[in-house]
Amino acid sequence: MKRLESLSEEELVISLRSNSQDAFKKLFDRYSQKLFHFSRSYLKSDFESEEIVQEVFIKIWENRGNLKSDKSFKSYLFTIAFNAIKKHFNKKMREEKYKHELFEWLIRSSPDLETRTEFEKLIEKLDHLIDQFPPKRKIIFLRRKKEGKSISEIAQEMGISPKTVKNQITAGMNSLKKSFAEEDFSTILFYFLFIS
Amino acid sequence: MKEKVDSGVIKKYKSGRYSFRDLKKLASWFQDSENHENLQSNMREEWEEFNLQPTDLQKDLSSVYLNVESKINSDKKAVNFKDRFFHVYLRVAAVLLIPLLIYSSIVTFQQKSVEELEPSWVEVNAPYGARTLLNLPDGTEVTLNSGSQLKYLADFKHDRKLEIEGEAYFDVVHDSASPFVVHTDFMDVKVLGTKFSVVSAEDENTIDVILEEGKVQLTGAQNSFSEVLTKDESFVFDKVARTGKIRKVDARYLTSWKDGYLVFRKEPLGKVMQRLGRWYNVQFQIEDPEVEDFKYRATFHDEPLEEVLRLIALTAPISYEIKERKINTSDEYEPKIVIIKLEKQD
Repeated sequence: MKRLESLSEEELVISLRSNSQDAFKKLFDRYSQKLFHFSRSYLKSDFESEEIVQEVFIKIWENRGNLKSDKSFKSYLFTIAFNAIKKHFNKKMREEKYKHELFEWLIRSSPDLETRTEFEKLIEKLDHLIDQFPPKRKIIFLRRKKEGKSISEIAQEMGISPKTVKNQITAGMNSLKKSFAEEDFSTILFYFLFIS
Repeated sequence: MKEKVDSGVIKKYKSGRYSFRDLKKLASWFQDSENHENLQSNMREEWEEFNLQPTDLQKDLSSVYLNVESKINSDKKAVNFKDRFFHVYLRVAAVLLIPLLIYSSIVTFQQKSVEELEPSWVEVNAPYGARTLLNLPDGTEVTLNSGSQLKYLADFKHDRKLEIEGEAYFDVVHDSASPFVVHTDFMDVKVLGTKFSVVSAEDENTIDVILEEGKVQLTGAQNSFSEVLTKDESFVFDKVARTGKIRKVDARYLTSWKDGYLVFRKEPLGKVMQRLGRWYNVQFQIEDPEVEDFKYRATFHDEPLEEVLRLIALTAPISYEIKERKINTSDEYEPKIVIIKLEKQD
């Protein structure tokens, strides 16, 4: 029997179809890095990309009986990966939804924000600003925006009046607006001086 | 709404130099199924040409491979640890008298390495003297009788296998793509959209399957037998003789416990004591054997043991004494003992 190193991909696939765990490991070694980095460029997370590699290869093993040796394994792997990446990406969007909504609100006061600046940096700034809020404001703000709790729920949970909750949220939103308005100016400057 | 998938936007996103508008576009391509075909072909092209850059650091994926490997191996191995598990479980339960418990892993009971526990099981226990109603991930409703236990795979939606110890009533959601299988030591019960109950207790000689509605297929271990049950039939399997018999029954009556009814229909007191013992987790000591033959009929609905005994003693020729629970030498609680004697006629 040929050493696994010298087997062609087609032979590896045939072996895998016959339950060879060695062939499976070889294919894993061949494609896992690529799959990891490819996924990472979309999901922007090491952890999630590792999950993709895991999910994809487990699926490949589970369906090894259906592998066609005359078709491209690389392409087949992608088909499985696409579905996994799609699922993870959509989940990430759902989780970040509150940040996007906040951002949409900010755009209303400075529409340029939407197209001109690098979104990732802006979200980072948004996260940072919220983190800097006084503790009570931060808790109230996140519960309302991130967790989607109602004003009365929050008021009850924290033992404060609904009016206080409302005020804190308004104050939070205003301070975000202010910070981004200031940022705007310096960003425009930056672009003019260094980019254009 | 179908949109054109722009590879330029994707490139910008991947490089990190993208705007919010770019992100919104990409998000809608991933979200709306109308765009999936285009998105996929774009990405596929990209994948085929994809090469690792010198700047891409090699990621150590050996732990990922270990996870994949353990999943592969656990799928291969038959789940044989359950015998050991139940033995240990029963012992522990006697010590702690734990009420309702739900575990997602059973690391507590085993000293063995964690790999053996893959995939993860969910365990539900019904406390003595009560029933537990639960929904399995596929929507199937289960009523667990007192003192019974159910175990199912965490991934139940895709792999509908479970094990029971004791008595459980199932109202199964039909899913022809995924067979519903109840595993006992001696046979498997396979169902498609139906209502049935299974009694499988370690300390009893028989396994009973009672079918209220629908159809089930019973397969013996090593295919020693194969039977099909239809409505209002029961299959009583003798664990010692390793054979079973199909009988016509009133399924509703036999499964009335699930609604909290303890029904006795002209049953010999010996049998009554057996059922009461299991229900309330007490041990009956019958001092005068003549008592056992007395035919008793009654219906109890969620009564405490003391009340049930009092009512039985009103019409049956018995006197009873409830002994208090003792702690034995290994610091374990013994189940309550009830002594039954023939009532003295004065």
